[in-house]
This record gives sequence, structure tokens and C-alpha cells, in this order.
Amino acid sequence: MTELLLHLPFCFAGVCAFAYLFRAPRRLIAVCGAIGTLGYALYSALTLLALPELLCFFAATLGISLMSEAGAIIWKSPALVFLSTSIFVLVPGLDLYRTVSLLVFGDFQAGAQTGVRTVLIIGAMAMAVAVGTFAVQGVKRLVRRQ
Amino acid sequence: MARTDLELLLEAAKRLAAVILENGGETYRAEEAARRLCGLYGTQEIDVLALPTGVLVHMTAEDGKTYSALARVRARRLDLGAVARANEIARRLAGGEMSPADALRELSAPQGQGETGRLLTPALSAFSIGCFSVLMGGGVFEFFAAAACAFLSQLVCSLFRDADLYYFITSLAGGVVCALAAVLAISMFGTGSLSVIIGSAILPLLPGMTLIGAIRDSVRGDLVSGAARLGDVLVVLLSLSFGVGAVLWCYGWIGGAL
Repeated sequence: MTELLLHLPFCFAGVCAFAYLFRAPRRLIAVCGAIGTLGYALYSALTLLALPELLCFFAATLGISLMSEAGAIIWKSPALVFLSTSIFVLVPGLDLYRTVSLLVFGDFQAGAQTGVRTVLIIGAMAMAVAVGTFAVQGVKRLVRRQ
Repeated sequence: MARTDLELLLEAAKRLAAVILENGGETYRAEEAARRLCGLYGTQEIDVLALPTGVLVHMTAEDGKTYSALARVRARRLDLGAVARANEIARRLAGGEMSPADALRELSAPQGQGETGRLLTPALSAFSIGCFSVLMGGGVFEFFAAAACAFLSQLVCSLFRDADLYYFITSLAGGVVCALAAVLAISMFGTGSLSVIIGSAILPLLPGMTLIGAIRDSVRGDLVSGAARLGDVLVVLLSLSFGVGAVLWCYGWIGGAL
């Protein structure tokens, strides 16, 4: 828990710097940081509850996706602005590196295992983004009809 | 409506869609913006075809005359500010707060946030990657080492981008520089986790925004664009992995330990 609390400011600062790097509108940089931090906190909290790893990634990414769509409605800016900066906190860069290094050094079994795990994580995140987008579009259509 | 107004409208729609595509925006967003704009002045029929590499806008006016405009997107970059600005312009046009001529002027004007300096972009990248290395379990050494790797790889990538080289080469170079800097840092100081340093330093090189665009386009049914973007993601991932892998292999060959 202490480790999580120590990580949060780094998470916020990292996402804000990324948002600036990708030239997000200045008024939305802090919002991107907040969404990324909340997403990371959600992931860490779910991990502490010993839930399956893929579920943690899916749920945290879904949270980020829904918060990004909410941010798009509130700040009248594309959800992509929030989503593409905040999601970096969950990207499995470490697993990607491990896959490459295991394969390069001939440990194909371990490399394949790590690679499949990485692909599954990316797949879970992709599904979460898709579900979040689809859910919000569905709600918007319902609201427009009414 | 006078013919010149329709031509301006078409030009504005085409330019709006092209700006969205050039700066990493979703294909469906480009199509919707152009379609919404063209529909403002009672045109009979509107067709917009947008792909990551270009946009074609076709419309039929009330008098039956047809107008078409094509924009080719050759250079793509990641600029969320430009996508947000284009979105805002589309919103103002749809609300009648702006004319097509004004929209064209704004779309053609130099972008607001301005080019960040040659060194500021890698420096910001370095800082953010340093922060992310902490999330991956890194300590002080990993923070500064990952930051240095990200700084160098972003600097090199910006030089390659300026030279207008293919994505493949830019990602390959980025991966090589990243891994090389990490291996040198570990070797020189004899401490630190190579996996944390490289795992965090490659984050800015990963095609996250392209992947999100691919997913969001596919969810909307734009499978051609989704598939094209996924192809882009695969090319970048492969070239990045190849760059990192090549350096690690050489490092292992000369006796380095991971």
C-alpha cells in the first residue's frame, strides 16, 4: 500500500510529461495525468486483491477508457487525447523486453510463454478499450433517441 | 448557394479530415467531421472515404452538380493538440460559429503549441520515462539510466524523422540506441536492472496511439483502416524488437550478463 502511494506522484508526473510530449492541449494535461493515475491505482488495488492478472489489466483499462470518454464529454475534446496518454501506465513494456531477450538468447519456451502472456495482456487492454468505446457510443445513441 | 462557397466548403471538409488523419486521429472522426461539414448547406448526397493514407470527399449540390476533393496523407505524426483543434473547428462550424473560409484559415495557420525545442522533447521524454521506471520497480539508478536512454533514443528518432525516413528505420534506430545506452550504463556502473531500464525506455517508441486508433476504428466498423493501423503497429513492434534484440545478442555474445 505504501509502495502504491509512493508510485502515484511518479505516475501523475509521467503521464503529464507524456501528454505534453504528444502536444495535448495544455488545459487537459493535468486531466490526462489524473486519469492515468486513477487507472494505475485501480490496477494496483485489483492486483493487491490477488485477482487474475488479465482481469486486472482489463478492468483498469476499462476504467481508463470510461474516464477518457467522460473527459471527452466534459471538456469537449476527443477521448483519444486522454486515452492515448493515460494508457501508458499499463503498457507491458517490461514483458515485451523479456520476450525479446528470452528469444534472442535461445530460450524459446520461456520466450514463447512470456510472449503469449504479453499478447494476452495487450489483447485484454484492447478489448477493454473496445468495450469502453462501444458502451459509451451505445449510451449516446440511446440518449439521442430519447 | 454560390459555387465558390461550395468549393470552399469542400476544401475545408477535405482539409479538416486530412489534419485529423495526419496527426494520429481516428479515421471515423475524420469521416464524421467531413460529412457533418458537407451536410451543413443542404447538399443532396455526401460520400467521404477516409483511410490512414488519405481522404476523398464527394458531394452533390442541390442543383445536381458534383464536387470532389482528394487529400493524400503522406507524413503522419502524433499531435493530440492538432486533433483537438480540428475537433473544435468542426464543432464551431457545425454550430454556425465559423465560416468555411475562416476554418480553412485556421487549419492552415501554424499550430498553437508550437514545435517543442530539439532538446525539450527528448528531455520531457526522459523525465516521463524516469517516472515510469519507478512504476516498474526501478530505483534511483534505473530512473536516471532509463531517462538517459529515452533522451538519446528520442533525439536520434527526431533526427530520423526530420530526414523523413520510413517508420521502420526510425523504430529500429530507436530500439538500437535505447538498448545500447542501457547496456553501456549497466556495464559502466556495474549496477541496475537492464530489464527495467529498457522496459521503460522503449515506452515512447511503442505505437500505443496507433493501436488505440486501430481498435476504435474497428469497433466503428471501419475494418480497412483498423487493419491498416494494425499493420502499422506490427511493423513498428517488429522493428523495435529487432533493434533491441540485435543489441542484446551482441551484448550476450561479448559476454555480458542480463
